[in-house]
Amino acid sequence: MVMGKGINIMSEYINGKQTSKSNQPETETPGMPVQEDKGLAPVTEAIQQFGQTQSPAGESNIFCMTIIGQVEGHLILPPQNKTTKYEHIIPQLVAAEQNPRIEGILIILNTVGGDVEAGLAIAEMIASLSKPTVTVVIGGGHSIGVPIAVASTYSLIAGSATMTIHPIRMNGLVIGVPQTFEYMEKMQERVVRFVTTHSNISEDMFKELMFKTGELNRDIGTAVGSADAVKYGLMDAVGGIGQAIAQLNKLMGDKRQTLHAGGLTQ
Amino acid sequence: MTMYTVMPPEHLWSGMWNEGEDTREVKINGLLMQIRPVSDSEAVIVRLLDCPLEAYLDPANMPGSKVPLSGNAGPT
Repeated sequence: MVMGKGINIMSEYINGKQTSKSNQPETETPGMPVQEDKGLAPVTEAIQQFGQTQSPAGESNIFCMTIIGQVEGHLILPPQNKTTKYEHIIPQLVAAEQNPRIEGILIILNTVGGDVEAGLAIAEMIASLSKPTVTVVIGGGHSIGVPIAVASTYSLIAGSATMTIHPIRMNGLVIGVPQTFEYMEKMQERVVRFVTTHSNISEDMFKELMFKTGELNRDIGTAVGSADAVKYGLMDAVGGIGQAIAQLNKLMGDKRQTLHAGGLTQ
Repeated sequence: MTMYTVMPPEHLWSGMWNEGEDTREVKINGLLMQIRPVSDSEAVIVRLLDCPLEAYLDPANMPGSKVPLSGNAGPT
């Protein structure tokens, strides 16, 4: 039950949005459980909604979004897939960008890949935000998760996480003409170009990882571990949520300072 | 459409030809959304169709969240 709910709360907007939901804080009953029927309801609701006893309260200037499972694009995937729908993520990013209370965006990734168009659309959106963004790859940021992971201002990868870099595959009808290969190469080039322009990895190194044989059991490519991802320049550092929040706060502080620069010189 | 994923295609597409989901469009708390009923009184959000931009920031409106179906008996 809690697990199922946890999935639903893919993006926790730790802002004043929830205040309308539970406007009765637990300050009413100091000791004895006399008014418990009143006091329990919000707690029960919080457990159901957030999987914890306290719902997020107070103003936070960070918007957290999670990209999990398959990145679903133009085609609705069969229901056994856990998916992130790009048609929800995109307006969410627009809303976060235009909301004055949100100063930074934290993106948590644990994805097996997905639709190229949708993934690149999300990655381009993240890269074009004016607010500081930090991505954290936990578990895995595979395939189309790689461009999303590197799209942010600062990217982190958890110690045990991996990123699989492999060639793009094609589904459906394949016509045996040279143009098919050219088309595939063009599609692949979009990913390569995005990753190499948004991270410190060189094109040669990225392609070397992509076309390596003997690394993956049923594909060609490489499963890049956290230390290697940093070594190759794909990600900025190894770390988790603590480092991500610290970095985001630093970036937001820097942005505030540049905004106020020219006004007060302190 | 090109998929770029580590998931084997046979897993990804299995169940693709099963009966389509029983979804319908409803307006809940002023938001037009596509839902999939799971019981008489509860449904799961499939996607938002027409709503203000801020609605996307509310985790209660994420696809996969459950919403009550009985009229406008939403969270007060």
